[in-house]
Amino acid sequence: MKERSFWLRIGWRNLGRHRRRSVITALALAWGFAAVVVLNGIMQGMGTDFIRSGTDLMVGQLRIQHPDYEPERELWNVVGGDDGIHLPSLLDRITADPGVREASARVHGAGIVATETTSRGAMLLGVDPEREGRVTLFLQGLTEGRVPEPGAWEVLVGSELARQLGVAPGDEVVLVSPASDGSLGNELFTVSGIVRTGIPEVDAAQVVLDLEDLQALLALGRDDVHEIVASATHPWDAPEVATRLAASLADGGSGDGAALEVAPWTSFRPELVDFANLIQGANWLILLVIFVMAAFGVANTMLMGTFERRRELAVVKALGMRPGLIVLSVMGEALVLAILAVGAGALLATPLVLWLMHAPVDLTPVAGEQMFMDTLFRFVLRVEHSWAFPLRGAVGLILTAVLAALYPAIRAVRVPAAEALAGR
Amino acid sequence: MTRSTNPGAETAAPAAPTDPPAVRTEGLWKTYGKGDTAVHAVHDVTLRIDKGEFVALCGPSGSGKTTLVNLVGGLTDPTKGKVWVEEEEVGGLSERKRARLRLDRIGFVFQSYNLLPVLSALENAEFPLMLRGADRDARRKDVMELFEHIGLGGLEHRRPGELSGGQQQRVAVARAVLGAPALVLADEPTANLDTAASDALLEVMELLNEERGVTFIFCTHDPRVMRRARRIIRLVDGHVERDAEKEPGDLPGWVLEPVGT
Repeated sequence: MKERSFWLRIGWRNLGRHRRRSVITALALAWGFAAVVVLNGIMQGMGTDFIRSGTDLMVGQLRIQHPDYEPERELWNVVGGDDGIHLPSLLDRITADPGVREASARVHGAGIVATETTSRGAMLLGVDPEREGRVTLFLQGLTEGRVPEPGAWEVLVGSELARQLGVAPGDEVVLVSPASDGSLGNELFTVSGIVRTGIPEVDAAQVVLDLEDLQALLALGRDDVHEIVASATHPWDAPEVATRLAASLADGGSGDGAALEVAPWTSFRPELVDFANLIQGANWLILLVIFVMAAFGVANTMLMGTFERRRELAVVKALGMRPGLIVLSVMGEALVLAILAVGAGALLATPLVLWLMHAPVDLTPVAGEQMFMDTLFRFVLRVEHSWAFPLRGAVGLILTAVLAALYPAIRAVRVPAAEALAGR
Repeated sequence: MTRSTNPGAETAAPAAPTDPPAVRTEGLWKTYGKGDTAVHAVHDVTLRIDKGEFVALCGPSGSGKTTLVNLVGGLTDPTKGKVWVEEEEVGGLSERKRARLRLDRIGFVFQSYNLLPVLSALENAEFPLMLRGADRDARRKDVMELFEHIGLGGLEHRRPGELSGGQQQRVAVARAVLGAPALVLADEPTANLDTAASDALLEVMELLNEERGVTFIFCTHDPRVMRRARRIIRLVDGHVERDAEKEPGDLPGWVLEPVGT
């Protein structure tokens, strides 16, 4: 069809013949498109916030460990393996990746925490509090006291564990833990603070130490760590960053290629992926519902148009317009309508998107906070900017409108010319 | 590529008797309804209309004139019998090929103009040429030349609603004859026009018939049209009651006689 602009012009003029009906249909489509864009942005924002909450609290978005460390968590399977690593250099290399925001080393252990009168099993976590605070958020859950200082033999105790032990900042506890060399490490520590993460099993068992203090307790070297956790610039980029880091750290940071494994949150928190997929599914469902409504709206408008223009359709048939071209001309009208609707929808959605992008609405005071999948879920209406979904939505809406016009177009082709010309 | 519609072009030679006819029908029937309620709009019509003829189909309302023209143009299918346009059997063609046949060889002029209201006079007239894929500048040149000739100069950008009945009908004629079809089927083309407008329109058609050999078939009640025709076919109750050639300008008495006298 050589004269595309001619057919689009006819489509535009035909829409103008019943301006009110065309405007109402276009506004319905525009409203649907705007709703798709805004709802998707909010769902996307909620999803990202949920994933951030689920990863930023404790586990991080990227995890670098010795390949054999999980699941047994043997103390001697440290990052870099037997050859060891130069920890500051490795941290520098990791944070040099543009997709990495910050990285922090950790040591894990397990043992018994005891007071003079009682004892409990404990999960021991050694961190550099300053670096850790830039990667995860759990240290912000400090309810009393302060974080441990390096070399001061201090510990943070989970809130529930502290309650069970009956300890408070300033009290002394003894930690007993099997060390990496087979010995039994034990040391007297002062409780520097109480931390509450909101995750019951963590709050009931976690004891946090300074990295070097736990290394000493477990008879590990200064560069011996069990994992490095890192935060990505965007959670959804983590798998890509993990692949890149795995390649760039292929020498294991020490020449031993087998001594490092980089994993994104999608592999060590798969339930969050399921949740993200659920959100995505909900998005598609919303899209489907709105598009089906749009399809009926367009089909109705086009069908009315073909009923009203029976005589004109008969005339163009008599003039020799091919059936295919009649179909295209009706669909062209729907195309013009859909393009107008997408434009109007974008105008409707843009201010709302910009507002919720830059000034999210926190509904927590009304809706409260929910602990879900070891993740704190907060009801915040925040739009996450993405071109992909609105573009897909626009293309989808236009295609839906054009396809919805197919039935009216076929009806147009089947208009009996002689009868229609006679006004029957 | 469009052929020129320049009215000053050379005069077409009349069709020799051995040439294939412009239109041929054989035992043509068109029946609406079934059984006792069946109405035979066209009733066993066998005709031959040669190229370059200027034919008037007359007869009372309901005699089947429009139905016959619609059958010839392939706008409706016969119940029985066959129609050929330039020896191409219309009934045997697919919808697409029928559209092509109409586009390339047939021009329609309707009683109530039937211009497309969203198009300007120019766009209406060039519509079939555009469907043929004619070059924009060439077709517009053709349209403008014809418009000047038939008194539509300066009105090309007006929409149908801004034109008088006569002007609209002239646009419709321009639309039918541009691109030089072999056959023009005109259904009561002067029914809504005053005398002056009718005469102007008929002169244009006569000119095209004489100069370009375009075959015209009119459905008409209008004595002015019948007077200019060189053959008159009178239909009564769907069948041919009389079919006679005549001299242009004459109006045989029988064409105006009431049916049954």
